[in-house]
Amino acid sequence: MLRLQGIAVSSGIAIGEAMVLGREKFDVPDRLIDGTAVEREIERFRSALAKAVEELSRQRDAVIRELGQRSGSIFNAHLEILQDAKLREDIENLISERNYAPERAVSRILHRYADVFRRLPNPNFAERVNDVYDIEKLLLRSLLGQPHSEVFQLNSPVVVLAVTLTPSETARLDRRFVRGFVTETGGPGGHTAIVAQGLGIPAVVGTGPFLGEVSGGDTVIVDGDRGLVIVNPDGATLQEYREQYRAIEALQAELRDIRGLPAETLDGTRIHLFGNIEFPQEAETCLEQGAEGIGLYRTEFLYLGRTTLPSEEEHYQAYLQVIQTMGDRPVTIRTFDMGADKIPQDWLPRQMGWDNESNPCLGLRSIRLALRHLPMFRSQLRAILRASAIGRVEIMFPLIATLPELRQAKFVVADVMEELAEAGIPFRRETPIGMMVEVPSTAIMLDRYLPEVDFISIGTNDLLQYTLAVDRTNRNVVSLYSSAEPALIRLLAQTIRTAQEGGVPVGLCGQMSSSPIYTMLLIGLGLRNFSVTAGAIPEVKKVCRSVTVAQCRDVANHVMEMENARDIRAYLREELVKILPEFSRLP
Amino acid sequence: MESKARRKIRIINRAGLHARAATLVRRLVLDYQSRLVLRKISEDGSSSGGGFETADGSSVLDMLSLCALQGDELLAEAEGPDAEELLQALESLASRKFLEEEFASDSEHGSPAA
Repeated sequence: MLRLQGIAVSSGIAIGEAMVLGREKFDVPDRLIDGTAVEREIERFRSALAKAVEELSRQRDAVIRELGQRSGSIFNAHLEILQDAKLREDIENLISERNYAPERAVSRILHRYADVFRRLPNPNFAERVNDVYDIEKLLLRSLLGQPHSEVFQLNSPVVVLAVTLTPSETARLDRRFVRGFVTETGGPGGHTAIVAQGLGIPAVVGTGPFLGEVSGGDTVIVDGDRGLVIVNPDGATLQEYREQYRAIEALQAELRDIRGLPAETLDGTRIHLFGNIEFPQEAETCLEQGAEGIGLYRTEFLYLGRTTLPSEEEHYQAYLQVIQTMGDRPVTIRTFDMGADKIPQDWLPRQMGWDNESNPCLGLRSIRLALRHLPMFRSQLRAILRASAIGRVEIMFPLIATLPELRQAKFVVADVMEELAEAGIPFRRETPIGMMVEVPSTAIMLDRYLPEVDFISIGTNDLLQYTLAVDRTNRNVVSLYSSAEPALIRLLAQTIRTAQEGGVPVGLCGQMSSSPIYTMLLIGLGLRNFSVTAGAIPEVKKVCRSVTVAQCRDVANHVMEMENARDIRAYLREELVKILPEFSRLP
Repeated sequence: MESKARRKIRIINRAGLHARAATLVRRLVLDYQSRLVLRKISEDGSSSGGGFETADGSSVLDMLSLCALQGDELLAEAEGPDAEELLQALESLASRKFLEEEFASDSEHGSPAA
């Protein structure tokens, strides 16, 4: 029995036969070509390159379709490198000037880069050596026309073990048979992590070298919660894990069974579960998981990683896609929510002074930036309103901190509506307008906002950050950042009560609503609308269907008496496991 | 009019001049007519260890092999009719942290701004 500790990147347990992915070997002919053949060989290289680009684009599109945008984006660097003009020139020079056969030229040039990368002192850069090898393999496969290696043609379930998984290897694996992944290298943000999460199968990375001690067919256990890999487990260990595996399977089967059922408490109170999405494709998953609508459609993806502003039409298409997927279910679109430090300089006139943002979290961001850059804001609003003619659209403003901001933003909406009406462009005049409550000032003054909004949605991530003065990306203080913070919970209780007294629907869309640990507390505080990540819908629904409102109120009342986040979290976990022992694997 | 321009660029984003950042630089270079060469310099003005010392701004592989990390300085040299404009755009891109931080923090923390 061999036990290895790695980094847990995708949760769950897998038990199966090991399939060790070796590095593919190619016979690179060590030959020179005839001087008269140069042109023909360069032509051959170019068409192989074109074929490789095509193949990789196809793989990327397939992965995007099946696993979503985030998984697909891991191919972009490869595509970019493959289309590198300098790389092509270097290879073609070796062919034309030194009469290398294309295969040999490809290997030579890419190995030169690989050697440089391998020696780089920074591990993130050194890891790129795998991309270089992957590109070499792609090109050689394209040149030599070798069939795909047999390891990719699976016909029984396996646990895939590898030094590292390159994106194209991942794309070529038959996903129906992969139960789990283990890689010797890699970290939390790596390819394996992204793909495994996309597939929803357990994975552990960064175990260090161990493949030498494993043979294909050995029994392997992957514990994706604790980051453990056990090769050839002894009887007792195997038994223990089989039981855990069965418990997880049973829970998952149960979660699947309740997919079509409402999130109703034992005493008949209806809870509404909506989905949070970042990319349009995710709407589909929300629907599959039983979401009643989209409670938060983040629109930042439209702006990121590009050097020009998205056009109104791009906005419109992105909204239309989600609306069409969701049918008659509501879709809440949140307007632009980024900081000035995140967007290209050319978008904003210099005189705004935004380039001196020493504290971007407290700076010109989100609705503040939108109100200062009206053409950008208006084009997004036009697109949202046009989409309102097609489906049930709601508009939500982020980071409202003062009443005048809300009024200004609503004024812009009214103005855009007039513009559309004059132009005879259809839209829905009654489109509900709401705001995020994520700045303490707004939570404190909430009663004054209520007459002017159709709904509110509490953003606990920012609310926590601003209430506690903690930057959650700062390692030194991140331990203070907990959704179980009593100050946050008290603020939530007030906010929910005030909204209810004012007769305004209130939802919650921060990370807190996606964790089943907090479901009872939130129901107890009076929350009925949860907006959660697609994957969390079944678990949260399971909790809703297993409790009574009275039970939840008791839990909330108890929590309101407590004073520190650690105790509160431990208590909530304990209460949840009392009712649902199968949730005991939650961290 | 052909002209040459040079300027120091400081890498301030956490990931350094990584794949996505290099990709953006390449796209930027393709938008201009000038050529761009990046040269790695250290505090004392000499070249620092690890990786290539110069990189073609149109090659992602080249730029990656510079291994330019957070805090490093690069000497950017542009040559062509719009050399100055190219460097200005590059500087702006670097000061905007290659538009990347948002991606990184999104994926690590789940929901970014809810």
